[in-house]
Amino acid sequence: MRDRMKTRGWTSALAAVLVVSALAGGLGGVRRARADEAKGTVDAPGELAIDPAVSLDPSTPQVAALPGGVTPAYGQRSLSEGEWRFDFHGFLTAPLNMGINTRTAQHMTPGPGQTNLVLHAPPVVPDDLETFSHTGVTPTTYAQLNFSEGNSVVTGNVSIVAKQANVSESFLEPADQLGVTDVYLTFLPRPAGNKLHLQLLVGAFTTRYGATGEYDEGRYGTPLIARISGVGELATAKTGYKDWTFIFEEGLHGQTNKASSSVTPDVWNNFADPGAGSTFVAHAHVGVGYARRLTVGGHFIRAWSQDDRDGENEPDGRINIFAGDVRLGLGRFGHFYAAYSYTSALQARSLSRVLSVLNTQGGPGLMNEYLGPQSNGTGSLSTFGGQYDLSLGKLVSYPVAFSGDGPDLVLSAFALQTHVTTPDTGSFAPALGLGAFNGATKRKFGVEGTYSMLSWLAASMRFDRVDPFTSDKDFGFSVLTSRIILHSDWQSTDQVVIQYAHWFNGTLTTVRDGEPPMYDLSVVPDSDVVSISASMWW
Amino acid sequence: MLGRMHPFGPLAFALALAPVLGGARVLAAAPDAAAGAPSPAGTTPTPATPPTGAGAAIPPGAPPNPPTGASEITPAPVPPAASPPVAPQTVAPAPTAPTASASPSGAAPLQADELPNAGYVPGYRAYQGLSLGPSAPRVGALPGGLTAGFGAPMPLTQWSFKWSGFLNDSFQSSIGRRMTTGPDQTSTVFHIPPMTVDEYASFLGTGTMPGQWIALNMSYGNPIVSANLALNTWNPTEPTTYYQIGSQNFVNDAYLRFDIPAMGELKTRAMVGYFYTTYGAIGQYGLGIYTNPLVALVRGVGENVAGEYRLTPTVRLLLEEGFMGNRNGKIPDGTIASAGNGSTNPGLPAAWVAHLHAGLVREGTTTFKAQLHLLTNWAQDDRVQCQNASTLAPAGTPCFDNPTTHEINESYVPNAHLTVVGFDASANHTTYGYLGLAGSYVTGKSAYPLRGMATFGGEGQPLTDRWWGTQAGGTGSLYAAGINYTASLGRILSAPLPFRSDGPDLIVNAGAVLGYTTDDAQTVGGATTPGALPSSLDPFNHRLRYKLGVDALYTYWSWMGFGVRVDRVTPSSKDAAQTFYVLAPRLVFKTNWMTRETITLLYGKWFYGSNTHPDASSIVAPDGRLDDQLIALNVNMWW
Repeated sequence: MRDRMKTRGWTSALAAVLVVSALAGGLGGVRRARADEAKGTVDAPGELAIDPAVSLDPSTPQVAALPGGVTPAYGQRSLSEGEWRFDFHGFLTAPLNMGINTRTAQHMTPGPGQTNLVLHAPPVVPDDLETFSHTGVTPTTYAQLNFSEGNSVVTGNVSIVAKQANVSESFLEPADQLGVTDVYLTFLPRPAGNKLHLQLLVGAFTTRYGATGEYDEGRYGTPLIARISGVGELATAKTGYKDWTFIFEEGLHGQTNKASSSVTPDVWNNFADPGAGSTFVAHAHVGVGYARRLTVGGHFIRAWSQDDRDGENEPDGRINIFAGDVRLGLGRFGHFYAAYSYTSALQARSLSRVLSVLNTQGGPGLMNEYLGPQSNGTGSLSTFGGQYDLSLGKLVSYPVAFSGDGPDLVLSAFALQTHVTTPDTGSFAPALGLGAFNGATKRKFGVEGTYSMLSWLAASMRFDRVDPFTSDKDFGFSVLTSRIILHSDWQSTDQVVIQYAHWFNGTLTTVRDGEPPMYDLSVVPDSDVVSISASMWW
Repeated sequence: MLGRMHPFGPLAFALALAPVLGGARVLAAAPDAAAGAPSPAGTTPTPATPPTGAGAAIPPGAPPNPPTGASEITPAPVPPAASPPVAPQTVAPAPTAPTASASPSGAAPLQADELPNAGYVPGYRAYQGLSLGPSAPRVGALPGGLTAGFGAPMPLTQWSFKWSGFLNDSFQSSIGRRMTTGPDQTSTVFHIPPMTVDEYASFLGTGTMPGQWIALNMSYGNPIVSANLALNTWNPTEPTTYYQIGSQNFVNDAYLRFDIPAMGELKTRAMVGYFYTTYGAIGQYGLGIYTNPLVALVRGVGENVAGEYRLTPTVRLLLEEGFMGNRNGKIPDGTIASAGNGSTNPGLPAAWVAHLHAGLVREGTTTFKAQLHLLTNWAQDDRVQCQNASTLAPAGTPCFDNPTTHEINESYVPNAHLTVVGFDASANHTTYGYLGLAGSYVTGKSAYPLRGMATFGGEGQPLTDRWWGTQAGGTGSLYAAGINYTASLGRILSAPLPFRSDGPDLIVNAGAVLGYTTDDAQTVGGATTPGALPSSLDPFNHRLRYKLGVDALYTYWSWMGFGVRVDRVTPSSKDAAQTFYVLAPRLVFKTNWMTRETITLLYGKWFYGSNTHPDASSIVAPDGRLDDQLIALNVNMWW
């Protein structure tokens, strides 16, 4: 079950699994992580070779790239229709995080029996996934078990996910034990000839568009275009002509439950929202690939709700997303991704969490984080971002193939910016008159370098700069992160990361606090975070 | 893998101090471990594929089509009780020669380390450490001086891992209309979960809504004993918009199964642990066209022993008995029922189920099977009655009935009883199909708080609320009967040639069930209930309800079939206006004639009567109107 792969990390850095089949050409197979072997032409005219894709495989864990430039891989398929195969794969990250602060920094005076130094778990830093401030620097617990059974034509897939380990919790948070999360079938019909590849996913799964990493959600763990988590179908058709590959993809998703008006939002129900109605997402995508190096995609996503149970006077809402992206696999010159997305929301308060834009939860999440509470879910986001990854080892070893079993320096640069237009004339800090919602430009960028010096040791540095409001720099902050990465071999599927991060917080750098998490200007963030985390995949 | 402690007695006591002096490890006789660890990847293909179409296979013991909206709430998993302190590790001196008793397989004990990189294997002397391995179960020592060697590699030739499962996942929405529309509102609305009258476990349910159910079954063992675990949910998390506590069953079943080697003509099987058993299934591979068992479904923790004795070459005698209790017994006092704990009720007593079954099977061109069933579910628990000696109340404070719970008098809670006497019979012809019929007689006395046995009308609470009325307090009777017939037209027409289902076929599944109730609403909890309706006006007393349906699936191509289902449901013989009909055409897609998966596109239309309404349900329809249309995309697979 465990496939020993050559690491691909020099050009793609941290990752949590993608599967691109080299055999069937559909999403979900084992990817030979040797882009330096990719030739400029396909094997034969009209044949499809390693496929480009416009979305991330559903089985890819929903986490940001791992430190150290390694790419987990799983998702092997049976070779024949007659062979039924059981596969078990998984991914886990288990971190210990410690935020360091002082009472005096928080305008408190240590009393008898109190030290000035205070230690926080979880760290009080502006790194919540649903916020624009999220950088992914602070590792979070994640465990995913993927079970599959099937043959080369049809496969049943079930995943079990947890975002906390019960043994380490100080109180029970039921919503962190997601349990059985994905349940879907994958069909790979075989039309006559080898000119058309089809894939159909039916069931409950997630699709992500705008993943900046080559095989994962990128350094920020944020799909730039959208994440759709629901039950429904996703059909993908690919065909080729000489060096060209054409991709067509469509999907329809819905949800399976809706909080009734009698449900009180609380920790145990992950703050159910009775005001959200039954939401559907229809989406269509086209992509063009060239010579396995270039993929250009166009995306249209529409989410809407017309449900009378979300409030008698609540208007029907919708979100339209128009996006384009380009992905370049440049061989020894690295991997580059860039995307632009325009999100238009109209009365989106009633849209549920089925659709996630920049990691927010449905329409209310978009309101809380971008459009403003008085917008009623109307407004727009213009987002662009990208990521570039390069392995110097591969670059300098050319034309000799670089196998990854030697010292290497992996560099990565990444950025994300979004501009908000909203009818909400309020501001994030109304008492100060700062952080206006309308016209806000939010920007973050970063660089990371990882030097693997020994088969068991690597060192990494990362710098991030985040400005939630470019017009008000006091809200911004910077993070400098240094890491020691230990693993059992050059190409092992495990790593232990010892990390120290220093946060250069602005005077108005804000964190979320409480349940449900809300921005609290009075909370002074931690300035230092120490982490030790273990990750493994199979 | 089991080992034995060295019987050193006093020396063992002295050695118990060893951890204090610097750590030690329990050493058991070296197991007969094969070199290297077996790969857990080996699987055994599942047995014969059930037919596609309506009434598709339901894994044995698993509730089919679990709730789509109203919750089958189970309390949040209770943390394991604090384990008794682990006995200090004892160390036996490293033996110069293996002295352990013979290993189960009879092979010679290990003479040297044969497990490279063994890691933490209990009893393996090569391991050194100061603490217990994290994978060690959080329980005390087992009785009998045994060392459970979990994590040790098992002999490949004897032990195997089996993984089977079932997944049924649906995108389903009902379609309704707003009574009045405002600005930016459409008149057509979509409701998820669907707001039709169909509801899991309700008599009004026809199974038209496909719902969700996921079962991951894992088994590990040898031909004699296996450990079985099931992970279940009726609500996979990905497409949910909030966390419904209780919908993730997590580890739902956990039991040992013993297949005792045959003793002459006698075969015996035993199960011990947490599991379900179902009686009164009238379908060939499931409960039939409707989802309620005609006799009973028993769930809990306990034991079940079944034996089969071959009387003649074609006749077998079946005997089965079982005993079960609640999974977690009585809920502690002081627990306040809330949505966060699944509305758990400390007024529910610890309940027990005992059951006995006997049957005969005659094999032949037509295989006949007939079984009799006797089940009883009861409680005799003093803790559910409110106590006057409460520390929160002054002595002598009277205890009052909660007026909002009409079904039970908290100030006086009699012992609860529920008894089922039932039968089921079937005839399975190799050509003409499968005919099943079953019936049961259910009597209850103050049965409202009982859990553990779901009759045709459900457990104590739904039986009371939906069948006997709240005023009856769980006292009444229910007569249930059902019949189901399944046949393949292709098989009939191709006879006497065998039909392997690898060609066009028409599969018909038809069935009917009925229930007749009587109750005594005059008395509840041993006292006359003020305001109780007289029998002549009681909507539940002497009430007949029935439903019947026909499903046909025509498969013309290997990858596609057309199906249609029609149901008529009469919820009450006392009110014809409640009767309604359901029409559900569908398209079924699959990858081959005989496959293990289907994709279904379904449209359902309900034709309601003027007084059709939910049945003691959690469905709350806006404006009080139910939706009458459903669209669904369903996928299911079994392995």
